[in-house]
Amino acid sequence: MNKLKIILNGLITENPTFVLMLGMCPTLGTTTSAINGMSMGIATMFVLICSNAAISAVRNLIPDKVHIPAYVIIIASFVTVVQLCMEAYMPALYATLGLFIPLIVVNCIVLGRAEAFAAKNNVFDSALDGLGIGLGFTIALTLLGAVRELLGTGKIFNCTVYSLDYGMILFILAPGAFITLGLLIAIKNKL
Amino acid sequence: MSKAKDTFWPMVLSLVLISMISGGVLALVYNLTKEPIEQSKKMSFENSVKAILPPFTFLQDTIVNNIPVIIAYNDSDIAGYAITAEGAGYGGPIKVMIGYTADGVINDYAILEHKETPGLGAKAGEWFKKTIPGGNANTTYSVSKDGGNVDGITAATISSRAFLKSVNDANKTFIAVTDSTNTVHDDISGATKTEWKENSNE
Repeated sequence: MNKLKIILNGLITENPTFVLMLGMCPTLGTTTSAINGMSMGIATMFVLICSNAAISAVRNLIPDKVHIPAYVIIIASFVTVVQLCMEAYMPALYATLGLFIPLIVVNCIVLGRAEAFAAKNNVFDSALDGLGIGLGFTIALTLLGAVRELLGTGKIFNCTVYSLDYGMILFILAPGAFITLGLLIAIKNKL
Repeated sequence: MSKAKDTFWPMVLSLVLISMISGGVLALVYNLTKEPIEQSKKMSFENSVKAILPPFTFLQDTIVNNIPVIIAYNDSDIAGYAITAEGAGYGGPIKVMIGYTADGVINDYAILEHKETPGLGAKAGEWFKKTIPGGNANTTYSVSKDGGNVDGITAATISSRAFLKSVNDANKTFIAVTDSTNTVHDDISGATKTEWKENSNE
């Protein structure tokens, strides 16, 4: 299988947010700003790459009947590593994203890729699949966060574009997340 | 390599092995990050204390009405007080620390913890800098929407109310503290002195 194709598959063909519609909880919850969305995407990408590689490496050692608990333990370990490192070295980011980091464990993208890809392919390809899907998720979250931040507060990556007074608060709140996501999916389908 | 069989021992062994390896890795990472986590928590708290109090030489922790209070001394005189208070915000509790000068003027405040909406209630850290510092501990604050004396954050009245409630609570604590320190000065039960390292002014 073509290596580039694996990455592009996650980025475009099977983009987790715009095509597969997986992991909607962090997608809607963390994208109040571009930087938050991007950080969440990168954290998820790290977990995806590591868990895909690890699961692929042990896939033949795990009996079928217990593969789900085994995968969950592996994924949860990597998530906890991310959480501890973030709390230690990026406390400000941890304060905003803290609640959503442990929830990566139950993010269906991670378990979905473990089942659909890592359980059937070799370690290197699985890591690449994690990278592709992770990048797709990161880009989608960053885009969503950027649009919401721009429309809601007039800033983008914390740089003021226009005055906060003209911001539409709706886009920072939960309904804005749904509206923006719907519009972005519509644009993606048209392209 | 053939696939492991779905029988008792392979299942038990594979799960035990995976759990053990995961446990080992987590223990390692936990130990590596323990110190930085504690340090960053302490740092952010100390920086808040430093930022909201008038200049001081050392601090003393005490407890008044079950609320932890930090008393700042300038050599032997009291320079100010830092009092924490909490209010129920829109997304969860808002924890605020208010710094007072010795004579009850609010010097500054810092938001220690909050879960308010970004762009709305989360602005409390900046918004009230115009109105609250310089205020008096005897004043009761409320938002202008409720007929009060402070302009609340636009479209974040719940957060504003919660913030002002915590200021009012801190004011009450301040009055309780100054009453108790006037009567039993220098010997508050349970008080512990902490040496404060002054790393010049940053």
